[in-house]
Amino acid sequence: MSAEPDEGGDGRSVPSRRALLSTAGGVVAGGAIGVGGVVTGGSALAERKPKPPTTKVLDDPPPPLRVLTDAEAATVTAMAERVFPADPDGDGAAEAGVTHYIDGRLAGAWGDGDRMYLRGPFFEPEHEGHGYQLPLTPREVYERALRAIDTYCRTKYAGKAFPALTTAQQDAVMTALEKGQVDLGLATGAHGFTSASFFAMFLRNVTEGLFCDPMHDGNRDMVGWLWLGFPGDPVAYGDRYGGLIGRWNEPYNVYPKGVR
Amino acid sequence: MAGRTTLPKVDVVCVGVGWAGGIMAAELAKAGLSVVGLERGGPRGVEDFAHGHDELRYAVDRELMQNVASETWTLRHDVNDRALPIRRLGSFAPAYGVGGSGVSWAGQTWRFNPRDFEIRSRTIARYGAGAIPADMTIQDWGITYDDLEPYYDKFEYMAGISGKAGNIKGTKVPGGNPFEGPRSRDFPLPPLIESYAGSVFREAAAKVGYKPFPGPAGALSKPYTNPDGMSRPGCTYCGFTGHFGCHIGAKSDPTLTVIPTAQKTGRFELRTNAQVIEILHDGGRATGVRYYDASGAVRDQPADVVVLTAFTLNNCRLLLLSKMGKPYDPATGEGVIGRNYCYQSDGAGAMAYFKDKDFKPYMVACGSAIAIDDLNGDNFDHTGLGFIGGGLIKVGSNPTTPINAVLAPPGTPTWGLEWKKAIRKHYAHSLIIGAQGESPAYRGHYLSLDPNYRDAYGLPLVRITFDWEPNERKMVAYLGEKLKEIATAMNPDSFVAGGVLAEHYDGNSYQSTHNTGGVIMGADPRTSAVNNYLQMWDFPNTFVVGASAFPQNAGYNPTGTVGALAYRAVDGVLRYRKNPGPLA
Repeated sequence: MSAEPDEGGDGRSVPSRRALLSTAGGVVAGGAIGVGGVVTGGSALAERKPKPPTTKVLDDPPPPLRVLTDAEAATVTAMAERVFPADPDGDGAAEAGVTHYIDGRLAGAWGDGDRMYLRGPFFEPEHEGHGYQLPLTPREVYERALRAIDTYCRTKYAGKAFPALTTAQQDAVMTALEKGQVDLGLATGAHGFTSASFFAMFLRNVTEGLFCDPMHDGNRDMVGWLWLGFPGDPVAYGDRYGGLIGRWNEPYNVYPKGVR
Repeated sequence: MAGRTTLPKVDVVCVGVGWAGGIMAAELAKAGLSVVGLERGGPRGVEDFAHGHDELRYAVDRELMQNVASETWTLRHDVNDRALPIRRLGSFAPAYGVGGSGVSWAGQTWRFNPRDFEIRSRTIARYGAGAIPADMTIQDWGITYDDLEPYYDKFEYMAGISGKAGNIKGTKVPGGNPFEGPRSRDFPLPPLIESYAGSVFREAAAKVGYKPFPGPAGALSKPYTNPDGMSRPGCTYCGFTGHFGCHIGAKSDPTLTVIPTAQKTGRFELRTNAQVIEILHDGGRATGVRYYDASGAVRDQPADVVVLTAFTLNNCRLLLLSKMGKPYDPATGEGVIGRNYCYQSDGAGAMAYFKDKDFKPYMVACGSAIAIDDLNGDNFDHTGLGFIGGGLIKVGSNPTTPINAVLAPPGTPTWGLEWKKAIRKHYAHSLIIGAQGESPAYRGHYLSLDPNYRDAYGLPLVRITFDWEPNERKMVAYLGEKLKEIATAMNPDSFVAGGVLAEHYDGNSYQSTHNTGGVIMGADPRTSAVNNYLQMWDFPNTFVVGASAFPQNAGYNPTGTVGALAYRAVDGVLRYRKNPGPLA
């Protein structure tokens, strides 16, 4: 629903697949997201604070998991939440549905390595610049990496899995991953697929899950787009950008729209 | 494998139907020739994009691009290095399907500078032969800018390019690019509406003493009907530029211009899902091409003239697979097929943050850019700098979509609350200045067939041997310093700027699909594969059209020059048909 239907507009009827919650039910999230989505940190915008939406369109409940086990999903959720944590200004990766996005990606063509060259022979690169060289699909990489991360956490933290750690401990694990210090069993040298490689892959997937079109199960309830102030697909607006070009510092108060 | 079928002979067969293939098909069919276009991918058109724009599908999964699962390239940084395949689309992303990259490009449509066509002789004339490093094999094109000007003009009016001339017949025009070669007339369309980021950059660049101007763009600033009668609407500034197809047809696109123009003649047949595997030849003449059709059957298409209009790397690969021309050997410097592979040296950039400016980065047109040409090519004095060449500096149009445009200045944590806050702070309030550096040729940079890796048909992949060299490292560092001055003049709340090339060329992260060379043009058959009509020296009925013909790459986007060379090649084919034999 649009905060200011005159700009950008929301001429479409609310899709039936979505639940429409009243302010009474969604006041905290709706208010925080609605204001946050259009302020985007700029004082010129903040001067004209839009009214929070009186109603909030929520996406359907997430689909069942397809690839990740419940334990793996809990780890992915906890890790993604450390990447993009909930804070008083906006929801985090968990609310945005990043776990279900990643699960869907792993279950689909991307997880199969559908657009990857997976013919041999395979060699570990001897220097930078060659990128991914594993004989594994992304689904297989996640499977192995999550298993290794689980082992790493349980060994280091008295049998506890990643979701059970304190946030400080979680951040220590994240940092070790980022620095390539967790042995995933996939690299023998510094230019192989280290935990830093997996961490970069994971960050990319989290970013996709936060900011993709909601049709892909991420960016739930426009958490990501509202955070950035991205209005979505203008085709859904009837191509009304043209008349707005040049009115740069004026607020553009629209509730983002996806492809459908 | 089904039985082989030999089809009826046609006048011309084009391998690849993007800008180059579309131009050849349109002009040759208009001239009365029968033309078959073989396109490895499927049909595509504006109707495929009318449903809306999905960043994940197009800009992340790159649905319009080549799927490397079946065919990729291998990369090594030196002849002594082990070549490894590029296993995911990375550094570059050639398109796949009708219209080629003309469907998914970002639309910047430049002409090269007159100096670029005579780079070797002009560099020596100005700085002496010692200014060119011993292993740098830059060479003149065998054609001048003035020779090519009519063909540039033809391309710009066909495609509908929006821009502002800086030099019409030798008279400088205020507001345009003062460094460009003389144009015979202005652009067919006025510039696109300037972005906010572009206006901030323009004012700062002028303050520093540079001469900013709107970059030429392949998106219509107004509705336009081209000389072939093809009408398209003006751009809506939707922000889904490179990697996406246009949902209304405002982007300059072969599927809305040259391809339907060719089809209108009734003499052009477009065959999709046709994977060409070999050029057939006999006694110094091509006789046709062999391809797998959509059903997997092998077809031979005989033709009087064979025109390779595939992507740079595939033009070269097909010649190597077909054993046409002498393969280049870096050990001796002899041979021509594969010679002078070049790219684009994109290592300098700046990011500036403005608390009180809302740039609305998502409202932008394809190809929209404000640029300066002062630091490109030889537009500035290189005496004492220790390098040759330069780059185009611009505030452009992409990335604008959120997955790819999520950015934070270097030094920001890559995850966590600080990152979360930084990406929000910077998204709408930062502008990026890019520097597109030229890429000179070197004796050791070339294309060849890989001995170890094969495609889905069992044919060898192209092996790229390429890395950054000291000249470009110095050039990029220099451009980075200049960007600091411009960024400072914008008076932002904060900025980062600089220029550095990675230790090794990174085949894995997207930089540019401006791959050039391998089948280069020139005046000497010992150092070039094609003459200035893009006709093979060794096979006079074979023309090889595309950025594969660039002897080295300039600091501009290549499509304008590819288009101009295609129109030049049209003249070549028509002249060959009248008088079959070498044209130069």
